[in-house]
Amino acid sequence: MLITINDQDPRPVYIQIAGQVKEQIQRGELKAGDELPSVRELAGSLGINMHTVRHAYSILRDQNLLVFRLGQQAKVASLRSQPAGTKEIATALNRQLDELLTEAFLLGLSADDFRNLINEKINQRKEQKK
Amino acid sequence: MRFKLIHPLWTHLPAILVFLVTIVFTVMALPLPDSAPVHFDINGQPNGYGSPWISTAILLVLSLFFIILSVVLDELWARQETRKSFNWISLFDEITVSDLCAVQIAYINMLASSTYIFPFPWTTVLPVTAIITALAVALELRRPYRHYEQKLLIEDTCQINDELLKLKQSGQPLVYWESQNPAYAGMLAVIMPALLFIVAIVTWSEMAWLSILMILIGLGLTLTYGGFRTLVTRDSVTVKMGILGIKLLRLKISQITSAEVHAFAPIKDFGGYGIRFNSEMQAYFLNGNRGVKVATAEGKKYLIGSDHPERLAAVISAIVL
Repeated sequence: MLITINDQDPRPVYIQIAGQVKEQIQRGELKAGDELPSVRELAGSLGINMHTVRHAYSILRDQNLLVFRLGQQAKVASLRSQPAGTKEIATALNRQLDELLTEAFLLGLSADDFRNLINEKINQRKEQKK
Repeated sequence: MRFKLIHPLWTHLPAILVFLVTIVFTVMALPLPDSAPVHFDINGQPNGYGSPWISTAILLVLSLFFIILSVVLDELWARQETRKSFNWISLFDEITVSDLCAVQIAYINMLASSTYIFPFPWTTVLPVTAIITALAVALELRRPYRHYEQKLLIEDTCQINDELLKLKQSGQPLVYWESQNPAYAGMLAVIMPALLFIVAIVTWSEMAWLSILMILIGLGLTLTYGGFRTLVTRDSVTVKMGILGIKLLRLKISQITSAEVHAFAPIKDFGGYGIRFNSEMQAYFLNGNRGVKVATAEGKKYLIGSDHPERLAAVISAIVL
């Protein structure tokens, strides 16, 4: 597992960590059952607070991507085999999609520009998977 | 896929034979006395009494354990073989089992003679061990080489290389982490100590020093829970072990001159798993047969076992270069 902290990134550190773990799970670099470093180890080697790492891990646990109990090493959870239902998607993504759209329109993007941008990103992911 | 033994079972026949002969011999000597000497001093004078069934059971269970252990070790050896080689580990069960069984046979004879003096029975142990071991050598020489098809997954590191290049230039703090924690290591750190603690409680009243020794070994084994972890930062490569994260190896990035993927045979090259040494390098691995060989400016070489050696080598190389 490769984790880095970008000072230039405006997002808080715990979101950066959670984001990188998610990406590595999505790319298949981290598989179900793979262990993650302990909170202390990761925080120590990145020179950040343990609470930051714990926060990142609990976000991932709340999203059912990590399993971790007190006193146990955090592990990648087995991924869902079925796509999430509409209701679940609505709660998980609605707010972020709304925010993203607002940002895009404020930057002056048209609806078509936005659609193209999304398609481009999806194609990039597909290329990477090959 | 069906499980298939690569190392033929018939190579263990001499050990099984001497084991069966001992059982037959013991059965023929029945009934054993209720109480007899079970422990002797260096001159063969008895200094401990009990049921002879205890020593008989210990010897037979140990023999069986050694045979099973030998089957497992030989299988590991055969799977790591690239051409026929003499597997000297295959003699392990013959030597241990024939020793134990010869002692048992001599002990039964002593019980039958009812003169309770038992100097170490060299005259039985040496010939029995020699014959059984010679048989085992003959069988091992006749053992055919069978190729074991290994599933080798070589990882594509293109993407991680791009990512690493960007990170390298950015100067941001980064950490790469991976673990080697196979199921057997977990069992060794949980089940073995549990067994040792139970035996320690049982033997407490008779041999307190042995109980304390077993408790200490049990505690030591518990500390290994969690396996090996490899941590790479911008400053160092560290290998840690167990619950407490005891540092086994710490190499400063400035010391390292190269890191490359290295395939090896754990039993043949290092005689097992764990913290290992051979004439070429120092090794840390619990699983698999591939790792990353790291060379330092002082000319030392270290092998770090890995489940993703390509990735680990790419990360270390990217930071070092």
